[in-house]
Amino acid sequence: MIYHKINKLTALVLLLAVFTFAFSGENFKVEDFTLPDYTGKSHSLSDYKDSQAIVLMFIATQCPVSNAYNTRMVEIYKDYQGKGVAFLAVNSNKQESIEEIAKHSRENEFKFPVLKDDKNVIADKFEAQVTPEIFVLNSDFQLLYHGRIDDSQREDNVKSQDLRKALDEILDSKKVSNSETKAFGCTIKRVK
Amino acid sequence: MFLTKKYLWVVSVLFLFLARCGETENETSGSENKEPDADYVYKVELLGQDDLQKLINQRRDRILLINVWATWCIPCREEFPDLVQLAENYKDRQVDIVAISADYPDEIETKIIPFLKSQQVNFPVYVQNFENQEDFINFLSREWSGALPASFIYNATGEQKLFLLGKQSYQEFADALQNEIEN
Repeated sequence: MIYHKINKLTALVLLLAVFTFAFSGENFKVEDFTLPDYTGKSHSLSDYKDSQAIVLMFIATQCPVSNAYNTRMVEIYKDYQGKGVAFLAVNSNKQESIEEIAKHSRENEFKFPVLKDDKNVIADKFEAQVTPEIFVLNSDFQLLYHGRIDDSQREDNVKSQDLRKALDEILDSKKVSNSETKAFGCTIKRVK
Repeated sequence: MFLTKKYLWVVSVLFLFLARCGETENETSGSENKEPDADYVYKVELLGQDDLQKLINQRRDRILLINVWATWCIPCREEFPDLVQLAENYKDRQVDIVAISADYPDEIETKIIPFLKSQQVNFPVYVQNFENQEDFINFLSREWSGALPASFIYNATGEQKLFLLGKQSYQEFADALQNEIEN
């Protein structure tokens, strides 16, 4: 029998996730939460309830893969925020400070809020493991898409714009055709 | 004079051999830096799905530890001294260690081999060459998001027994391998 020792931390993540997600119809539903951005301003999921979709992006300041997507995240934000899509970036890495997040955000001209997930509470609730990792929710906080931004760290090699495709389908009131994707990335560094 | 030189050479070889045996028995963490072995020719091959399946199937009664890493991944790089030490310490205990890089094939000469040389890596290293990286991730585990590093332990008949997510210590790897050896 195959068993998986993922480690104590991930076991805790899975346990928390069991209590957080409630299976509702075809989609998982997440509870509302509140986190501060790097300026100290609080953001709740419920602040964005009127949006067509809410894009949560788990990112990092030090991860080369996440950083390879900085420009692409800015472009996707520009293309979709006017269409009623809300964007929230979340930094759950224990070693990346508020000051570092603020500097990184300004340097990369992020116009979306970057929230600090102290003690990776929200990463645990979402079972987020990697950066970058995307969760797209509807206004009822049901999960519509989970996974990567696209299929290659090298922008020139991208064949499948998975996040854009999912958002286009959501805006067209269609079911997301590929709602779960994967890509290599950096492990989120959690508190012990 | 010739005989004296020959005698010294034999003693030197014997000394080096005993020193290596001593290292084998020393199961401490391999965190010390080593000098690159300039003479060793590192070869890193591409690994497609059939190749990986073959690697897993051909166990010959040996346990397999697959470590998936990348040169851009700092925790992965930090694991390597311990993996080198494990490969040395467990080679006579029916354990094979193989690393599969998530770097791009065109980075073998520029990034992967220089890193392997710096670590004096003593086990086979490949670069994954599946049609797409998602297939590779799912092939190893549907429960794996693709976060690096990740390690997988297969038993001597090629059955996956353990998935280790994130950076592991020497002791965590050793405990996992020992557990599989005793089973």
